[in-house]
Amino acid sequence: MAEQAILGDAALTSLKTSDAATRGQEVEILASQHMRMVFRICWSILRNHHDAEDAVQECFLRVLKFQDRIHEVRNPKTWLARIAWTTALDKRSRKPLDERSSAKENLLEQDSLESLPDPALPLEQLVAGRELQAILERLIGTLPDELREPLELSAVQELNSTEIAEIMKIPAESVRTRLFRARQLLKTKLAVLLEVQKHG
Amino acid sequence: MADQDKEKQLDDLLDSLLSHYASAEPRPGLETRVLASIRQARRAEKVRWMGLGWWWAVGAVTVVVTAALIVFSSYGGRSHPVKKQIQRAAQQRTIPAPKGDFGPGPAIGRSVKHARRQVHLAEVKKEVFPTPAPLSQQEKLLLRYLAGTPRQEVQAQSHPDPPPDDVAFANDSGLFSSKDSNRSIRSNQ
Repeated sequence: MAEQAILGDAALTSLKTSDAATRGQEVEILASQHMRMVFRICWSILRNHHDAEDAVQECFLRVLKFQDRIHEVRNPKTWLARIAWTTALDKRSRKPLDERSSAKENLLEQDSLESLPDPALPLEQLVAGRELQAILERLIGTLPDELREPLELSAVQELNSTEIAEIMKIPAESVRTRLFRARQLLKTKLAVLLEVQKHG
Repeated sequence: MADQDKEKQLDDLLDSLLSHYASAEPRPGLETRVLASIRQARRAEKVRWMGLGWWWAVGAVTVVVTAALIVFSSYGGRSHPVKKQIQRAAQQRTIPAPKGDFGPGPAIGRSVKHARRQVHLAEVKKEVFPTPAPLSQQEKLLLRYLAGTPRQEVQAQSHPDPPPDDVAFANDSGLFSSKDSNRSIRSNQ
């Protein structure tokens, strides 16, 4: 994984220094080396394989389109991550509103609560259960945009809070504050759900 | 203490859930699909640029040809005024074909030839100023006179005549000023 990241950085740096004739090939190399990071960013936002794959493709086409500006980029990795993030956000905003809101509306339905695992189970079993993952996704979906977006990016292992700040073009301190608030909200909601499940 | 344990448990649970949140792997075939789309986009871009290049080339050639046509038409349509005059003069000086004279060629041909020669000569002449012209009748007579007259006579003719005696006397005696003498000479003439 680390090796791949280093190779990816090398590709980004070479893309930055290459001339226009070879940039197309460099974009191909970049795509094959950073596919996973870009996919995860898109996936964390879109939560759908088809949409995430479409967003990945669109992201690299945007990279190809803006390849002439690559020499102006200070940090190519966050530049690529930002393109992926904005592409995924655009795709999500293009989705019909009813399709997006349905997840939030169904969040605390009785069916969801009934499918929760027993909170007395060990942590490994709780996490391994698909039900709790689905509940977390829905809980994240209920967060306001300013909290949800840094949380979704922080879930991507390849990105730290400084890079998230660069992607979102906000101070790193704001990212950390928002992450803390998002986690607090999620913990509260999660505690309530688990408590309800525990007592009946 | 129990609250702290519960908080810690929730933290661990959330961390574990979030670590799985974006741990999805791209499905096989995505890379091929993305690379193919990149190549296709590059080809399309190349074709588009080539198309634009062709349009630019066609546009440039059209502009050059149009400019050349404008330049040629302006020079061709607006002939030089001197040349125009010479052509007109040549047309006017065309020798009319003598009636009943069967020369070496047709009269029209000769007149055209003559006009062309005149134009050619005029074009050569216009380089020199004043333009040399053929001798006039007066000049020819003068030349003939000079050729047939002795040198002494010509020299004698070239000196002005002495003034009449009365005027010379008045000048010598100082009765008239030079202006008056001139006036009297003019009146005598």
